Amino acid sequence: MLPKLSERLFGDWSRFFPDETKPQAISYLGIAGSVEGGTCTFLGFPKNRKKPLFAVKIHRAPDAGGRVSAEQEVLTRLGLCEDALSGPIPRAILCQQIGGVWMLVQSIVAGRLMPASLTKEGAPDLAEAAINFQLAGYWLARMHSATRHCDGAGVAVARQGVASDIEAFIETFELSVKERERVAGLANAQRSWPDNGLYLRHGDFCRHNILTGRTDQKIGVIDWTFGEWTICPMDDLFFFLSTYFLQIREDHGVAGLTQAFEHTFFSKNGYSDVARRAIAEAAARLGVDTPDVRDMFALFLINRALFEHRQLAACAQSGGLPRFAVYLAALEDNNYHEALRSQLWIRFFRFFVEHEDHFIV
Amino acid sequence: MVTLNVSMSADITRLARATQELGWQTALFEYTKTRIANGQMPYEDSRSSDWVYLLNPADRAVSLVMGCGLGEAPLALSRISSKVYAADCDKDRIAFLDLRRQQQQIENVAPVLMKKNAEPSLPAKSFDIVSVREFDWHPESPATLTGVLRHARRWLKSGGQLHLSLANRLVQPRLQPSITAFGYQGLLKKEGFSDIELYAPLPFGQRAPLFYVPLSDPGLMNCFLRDIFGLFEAASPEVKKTYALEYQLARLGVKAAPFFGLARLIKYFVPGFHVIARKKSDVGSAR
Repeated sequence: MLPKLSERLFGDWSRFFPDETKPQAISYLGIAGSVEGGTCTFLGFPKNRKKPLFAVKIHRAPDAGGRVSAEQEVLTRLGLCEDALSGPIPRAILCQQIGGVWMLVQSIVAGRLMPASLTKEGAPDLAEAAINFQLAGYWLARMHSATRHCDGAGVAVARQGVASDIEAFIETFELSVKERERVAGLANAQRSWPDNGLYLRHGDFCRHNILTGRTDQKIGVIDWTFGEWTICPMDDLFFFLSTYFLQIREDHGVAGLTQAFEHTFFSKNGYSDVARRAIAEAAARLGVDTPDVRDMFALFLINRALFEHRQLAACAQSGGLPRFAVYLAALEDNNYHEALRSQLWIRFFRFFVEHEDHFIV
Repeated sequence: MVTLNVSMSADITRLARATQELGWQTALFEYTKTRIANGQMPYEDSRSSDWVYLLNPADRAVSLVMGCGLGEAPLALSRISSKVYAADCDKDRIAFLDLRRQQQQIENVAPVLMKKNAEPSLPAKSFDIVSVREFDWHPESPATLTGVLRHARRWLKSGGQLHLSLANRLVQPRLQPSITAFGYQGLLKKEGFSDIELYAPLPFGQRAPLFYVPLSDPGLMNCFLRDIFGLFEAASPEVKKTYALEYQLARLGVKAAPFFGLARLIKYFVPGFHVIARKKSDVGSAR
């Protein structure tokens, strides 16, 4: 398929790459994305060029047309306001099904993964985290202000989507009485949130998708596969903060995961204080009250749990559960059906309900 | 002539039996869970067959997979082919694949049980793509590697593509013959293949690579080492623990590469190769 893509690009080279001389050939370097994500990326290197010219995101599922088009729309929308953002985003170059495979060709965003390191004690480096949280918060603020728009019908649909997610969450997971009560409260709470319009949500806003420059303070954000419009403007920040420590932790297993979550949002320490400030700044900027922050956090966990459950179900249908889900199941000797419902974010939701009094905001 | 790697055959027998009783999803889940509980990685997942996107199949391609594994390669090829024949000489793997494709309602995959230690009897010039995976279907002597290429050449239509998944014998000395990337290229040319491209699956080899790196261009390799390989830090701590030795070696290699000009030498140290080559026209060919 990639040789066919090369032919397609060569056929209209000056339109796709007006500033580049047409090369004799293109080599492709593959970066296998996660099983859950369902995509892999190939970097296109024109012959004799030392850096990639473009990236091709390939969807492994043959019915991914909707997802590819949605990402292209998001990139096009972001492209219209790139000057207002505080760093580069990929430009959609070509979106097409070639040889039965959906591909999205995008421009390259230069940079290296946002660095994050641990101290000797095994906690994230505070100074580095403070800078990273500030960069991420600032970028999200710019993105929100550039893309937020009033759309009464869109907001109504999004609110209905939140209500449907709450119902689906109750149906999908076995909840305690306390957890059910907390979820029921959310259904009412979200109806009273002020109508501030629709915000663009990246959907996978974690360090792995954030590139930093070597000298400047700008960040580039890649992988908009799960980008969509939402009424919950703090989701990307919550995801960034939730995954920051998780991705670099040294402690394995459920205990390690829970400890990282607790250290970030529930215990009193320097790191959680940096996280609290990042949340407080974002809430103040967005005009969100403290009780609403908690509700939004709970809804974020619900949304992630459902999202992950749906991803796992899709993986299970096509090629089997991904390694991490099976790993969690192996730790607790869960069976297949338990494994589908016993993943990371439902654990975090339960932890949140149990320890909400200690939540940092 | 060709023989099956039987290291996992008892587990596969259990997997096939469980698939009949419980369905492929539950059976594969239990099989993978046992592997992970024993500190192993899953046998394969969707990343193992991302090489299919490097192929250039004809419309309505007919494909042949020698060594069907747990089905990832045949099923990935089924999405870009009109028909896939998945051959193996392990009856349990064939049974598992057959049940899996029935339960998944995939109609264009046909499992084919081959006889052990017998000449594979498949029709000549019938396939647009032939994929041979050494882990599941490997030659047992130097002569048979050539033999596999000759068989593949005979089965392929003119201009058809061969995909080989091979171990790097320089880093796995138990495998014979000791042959380099250049050696593979020479052998393929000698057996009537052209447009030969080699990719290194990194850092783990064939099972579930994070990267497929073309080995033809040292400049590209430099870029990979300098700018891209750091992405492997994104793997979870659990994966890093399972592959602690590989990670350490890879990290050392990446740090040392710029100082010693190792980009040109890296093809000697990678864990394996994915080779894609095209069958030259039969007219005027030596074979």
